[in-house]
Amino acid sequence: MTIPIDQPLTVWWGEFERQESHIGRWQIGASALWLTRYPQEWRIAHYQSSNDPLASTISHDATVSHHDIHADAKVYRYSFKQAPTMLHLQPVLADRPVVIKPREPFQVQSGEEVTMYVMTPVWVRVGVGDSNNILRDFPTFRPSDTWFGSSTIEGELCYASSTLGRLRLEDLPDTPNRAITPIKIRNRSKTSLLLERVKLPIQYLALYRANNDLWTQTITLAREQNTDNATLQIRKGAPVEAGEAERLAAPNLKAESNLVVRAFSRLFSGA
Amino acid sequence: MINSMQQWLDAIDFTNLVGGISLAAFIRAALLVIIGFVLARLARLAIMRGFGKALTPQQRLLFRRLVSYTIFLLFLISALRELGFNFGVLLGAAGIVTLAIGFASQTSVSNLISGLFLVMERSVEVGDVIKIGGTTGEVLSIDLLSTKLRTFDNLLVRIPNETMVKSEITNFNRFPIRRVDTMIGVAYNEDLQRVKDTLLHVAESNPLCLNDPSPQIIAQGFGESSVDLQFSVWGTTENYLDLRNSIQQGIKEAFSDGGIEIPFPYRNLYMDESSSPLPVRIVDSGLHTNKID
Repeated sequence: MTIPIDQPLTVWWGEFERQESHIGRWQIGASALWLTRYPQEWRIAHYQSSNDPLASTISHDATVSHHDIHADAKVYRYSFKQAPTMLHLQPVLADRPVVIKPREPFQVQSGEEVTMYVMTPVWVRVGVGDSNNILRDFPTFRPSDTWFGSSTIEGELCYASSTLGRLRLEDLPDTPNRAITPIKIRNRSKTSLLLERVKLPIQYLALYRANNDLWTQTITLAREQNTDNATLQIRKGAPVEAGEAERLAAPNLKAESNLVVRAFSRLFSGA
Repeated sequence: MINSMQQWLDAIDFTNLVGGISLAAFIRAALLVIIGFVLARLARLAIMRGFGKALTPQQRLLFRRLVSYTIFLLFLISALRELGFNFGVLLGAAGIVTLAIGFASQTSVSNLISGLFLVMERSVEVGDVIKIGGTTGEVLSIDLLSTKLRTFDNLLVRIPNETMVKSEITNFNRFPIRRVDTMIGVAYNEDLQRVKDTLLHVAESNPLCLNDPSPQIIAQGFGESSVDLQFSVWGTTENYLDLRNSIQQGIKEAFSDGGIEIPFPYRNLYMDESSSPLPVRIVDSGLHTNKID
């Protein structure tokens, strides 16, 4: 596949043929990647050029030189006996759960159900060769870390979603570097549920492409008791809202049926 | 092979006796000690490989020592029996010997017992970074008598277990997250709300800084030259140093960009006759002196 030079791209993933000592610059959302093939080496430089989590630029420039690599870019080198010419770029989901914080906490009454749409940043998986030898994953936007648990002693390190969850799909910003996940929250317990933070166990989800948008499966978090735990159910295939979709990446972890996860949590006081 | 070797040794009639012990018995005893030593080493290696990931470094160390010492001790006892030692007599004498040794090695026994308490309490484990007294370092091992630390300038510090039990110890990586506190002084003429917003933006744009527990700004008081603030952010324990460095760099850059002044200490000097101006003298190239009143 040949990359058109200086033309806006609609998608950035796919397979590309690289010639010797050829350097290409990809701008994918907030991140810039310089990928260079040498006879016995692949060299990748990565730099987050923007702090805007919703940066939606996608571009490719094949006319750059080594001097154009940002001085603060982090360089990764991979040596080969004979460097493969084929380059693979693939979107993948985050390797840790993502925590979503509604703008204002809201209550889900006993017996009620609510659907939230959340967007999470994707990573660029760089691979080379016919067998797609994976070199490294780079975030299109590196989200902040956050702690999800009952205290500062027990919990789990997660990513914080830098965009807020929305109750209506139309309200989500249009950005091609983020995957949309519909989350159904069912409160089957006898008490109301205060939604301050919701953990999306994204490592159990697959990634789909529908038109130029990225989607994951719909998940259902059913709260049975008056606790912070919920039963996780993952619907098969892309969500109905996505329409016809193609699967791009498999989940990192296989979820057992009716897996119970800690999904809800109060905010910390911070002290 | 051992059996055939023993038969061979038994078949030879050694006449060289030391206190009624034949040379064959000596050789058998030596062989037992060597075999015991080799087996203990093999057991240590097997534990390292077999339980390398299943156990914590602390448990691995204890398990390894327990198994290897037990194996070696059993072979040593067998070797002594070969040499004709009577353990009944030895046990009878043990009471007197223990008393004598006890008086002679009070410190060692105290350290030994402290070491056992230290291991049972589990407040410190191998691999932890701790501070004890004025020493900060990584725990390399908790031995019978002492605990060994490696300081960050790569020195070995040996701390007697008794001191470990008696002293206050701070364990830096027991919990997965920790707080980074930065003290900041801003000029009195700065808008404090703008300063707070700038600091929160610094925390928000640093990916190592945790969103929750959320960053906090605590007013510490009015200093001599500045309003003193404490800026507290949370990060993972493993990223502590990176976060501490990057957050301070971020604050400096954000303050420079936003024109927020971190003041130097001010000093106002008053003379006795404060109303009258101080005489100033300008020296021109060291040749002419002009006096201005």
